Amino acid sequence: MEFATFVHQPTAGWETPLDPALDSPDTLVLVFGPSDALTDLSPGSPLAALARSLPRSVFVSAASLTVAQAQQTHDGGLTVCVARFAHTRLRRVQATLGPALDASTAGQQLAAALRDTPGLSAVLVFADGREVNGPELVRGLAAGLPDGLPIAGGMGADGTHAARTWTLHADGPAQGSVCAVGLYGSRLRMARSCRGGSVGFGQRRLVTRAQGHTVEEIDGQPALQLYRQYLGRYASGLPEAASHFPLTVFRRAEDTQGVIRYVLGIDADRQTIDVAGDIPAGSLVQLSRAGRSELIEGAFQAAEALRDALPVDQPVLALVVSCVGRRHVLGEQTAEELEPVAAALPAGSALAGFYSFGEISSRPGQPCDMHNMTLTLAALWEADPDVQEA
Amino acid sequence: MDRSPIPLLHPMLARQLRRLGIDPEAGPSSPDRWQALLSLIGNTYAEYEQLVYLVTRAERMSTDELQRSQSALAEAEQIAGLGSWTWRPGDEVLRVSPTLASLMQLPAATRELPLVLWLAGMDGADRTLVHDSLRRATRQAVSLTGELRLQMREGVQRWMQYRIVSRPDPERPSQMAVSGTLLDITERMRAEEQVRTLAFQDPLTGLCNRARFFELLGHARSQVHGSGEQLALLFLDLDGFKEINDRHGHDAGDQLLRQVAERLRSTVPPHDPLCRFGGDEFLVLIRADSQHAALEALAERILAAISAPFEVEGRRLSVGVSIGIAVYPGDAVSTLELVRAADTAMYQAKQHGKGRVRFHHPAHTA
Repeated sequence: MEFATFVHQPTAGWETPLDPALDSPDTLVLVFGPSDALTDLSPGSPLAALARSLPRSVFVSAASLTVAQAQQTHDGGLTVCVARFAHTRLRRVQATLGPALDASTAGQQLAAALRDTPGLSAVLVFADGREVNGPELVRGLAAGLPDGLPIAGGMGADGTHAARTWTLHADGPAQGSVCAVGLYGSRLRMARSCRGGSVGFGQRRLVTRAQGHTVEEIDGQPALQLYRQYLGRYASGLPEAASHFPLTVFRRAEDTQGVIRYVLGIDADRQTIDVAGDIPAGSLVQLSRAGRSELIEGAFQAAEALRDALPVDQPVLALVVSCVGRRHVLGEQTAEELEPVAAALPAGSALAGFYSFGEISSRPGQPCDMHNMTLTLAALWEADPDVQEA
Repeated sequence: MDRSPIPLLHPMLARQLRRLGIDPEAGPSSPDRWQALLSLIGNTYAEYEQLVYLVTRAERMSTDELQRSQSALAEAEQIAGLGSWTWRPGDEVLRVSPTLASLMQLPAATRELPLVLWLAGMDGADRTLVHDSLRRATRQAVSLTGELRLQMREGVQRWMQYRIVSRPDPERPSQMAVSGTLLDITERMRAEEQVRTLAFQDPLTGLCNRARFFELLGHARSQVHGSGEQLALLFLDLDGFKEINDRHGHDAGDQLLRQVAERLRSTVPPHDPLCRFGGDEFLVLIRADSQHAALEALAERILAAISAPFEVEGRRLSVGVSIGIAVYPGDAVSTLELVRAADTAMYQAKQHGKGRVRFHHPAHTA
């Protein structure tokens, strides 16, 4: 397996020249960047250059205003991960959601399509964070795949434009797309870790009315009213301050670990809260605080958890998917959450990724889900044939 | 002895310092590093302060809500007159709600009631039942209801409806949490008693009706059965009542019957049942005295009482009475037989010229 990462800056162009030698039918190209750059296939555009250099490769993209490469974050630039596998085959499947196809069904259909080919070892999935109900997609996908099969990925996010995540089809990008790549072969390994760092406080409360990504009532009270009441003097900072105060969702009363939902916005007229992903009525929610030191501590924990699962002396391609909410809270400190990750990787490894509207991974002992406010890592490598995994 | 050195710095702090490019052992090496360190400290304090504020606020919200819901519950209990209690098996006291304290006429601030005191206030049979129910509740999940009598201060007894519910205690594995309610149903019981009384009363005279009298007679028979005691049944039929009814109307007749009933009440010993059997027929059940002489004396007193003239609508009206007496078990073995025997004796009395008393004689039986 050979891999490289590339960065394209709007003003400076490619930091390092693209390497056509990496091109093959078994080459995976992950492109992360602003949606307008991802839709521009005109001659001279970075995307056109990529397509020319890597004509046979399998492209997947996700939109994001902030991308990461090594220990750096770039706003408005493109980050590209290229991995040419030696013992792993790739298969890309996609779906376009619409009135006739909901996220859960799309997930199931993608899973069924991926399982058609034997030898499935891991799945990467990317989707539009605004258009697609991520949690439903992941549940559908996980339901159709073998238990324990590693799934990782994220929901595209683009704060200034209508969010658009797409896959680079031969005929160009499509909106509202969901795209999954199946990685096939017994030597492929994908290690994952996922940590947040938000601290829940106050009692768990019942979501009494919700629709999709809008929470309408909690404990029978208008959701925003209760949210404001919790925040007290910090409520005056809304809506910007909402990034600091996500909701932890517990699907069942006995759950000790919840899923974090980033608060995307508030509707003062309807007194509702919009979250990335969904919070179904009947869930229990707890208000949480995402402080800078807690988020960075979470990054350390994610890095440590990943390191424990990695080979000691083999480089890996590490995909980082972090939450736009973390980006908002950390601000100029954003790069600091990448440092511990870079330090945890074996020599020669590469690290790249993007800031998302939803990180797809599983926490230890839990099914795969869509998270928010987490730093999610997925490391890929091909193991030697004589290495027996526990 | 090999002893690993105790780190001087917390690993997390050391990590934070290294991130800022500061050697944890040596401290900041330049103004930039100092600046970064101070900014980190400032941030950390600000975040810590924020968290303390939020956590404190959230706790206060929960406490306020709890208090609000508790006072709403107390108010609802008060409106419903429903007292509640909880008990953890093994505890010597029940935790009681303010309404329960008020129901049981305990001091208003009472929140703990010794279990023995609670049980002691109950009627004997109820106490055994409630005690058994509580024992069951400690072993399995139950939901039981029933009625019990509680002894209040100054000898007043109140009827209570109780409910006992138990379920596994979420805080103590393999133990049950028992709780219950108490509702004062004394008024309801009184109303029911009134309904019962009305069903067994002759509406005109207020004496027992036939159904009630037969019930009392059956009860009395079972009590004297085999005891050697006897019962005497006096069958009374007014003489000359029909004429009064015909001449002065039914209203006058009804008033006369009411006055007859009053005179019978004051003549017959207070606990001996009196019944209006129908029309102008009355029954008196006398317990224990088998002496003909004593029975005859009572019958004579009744004759005299009824024979005195009545004041009805400004008129003096007179009736007489014929009385037949039969004795159980001497004259009859069943309730109906006893009534029939007394009726026959009364008929004999009428035949012998009214205003008389006749004992049942076997030869009279048809």
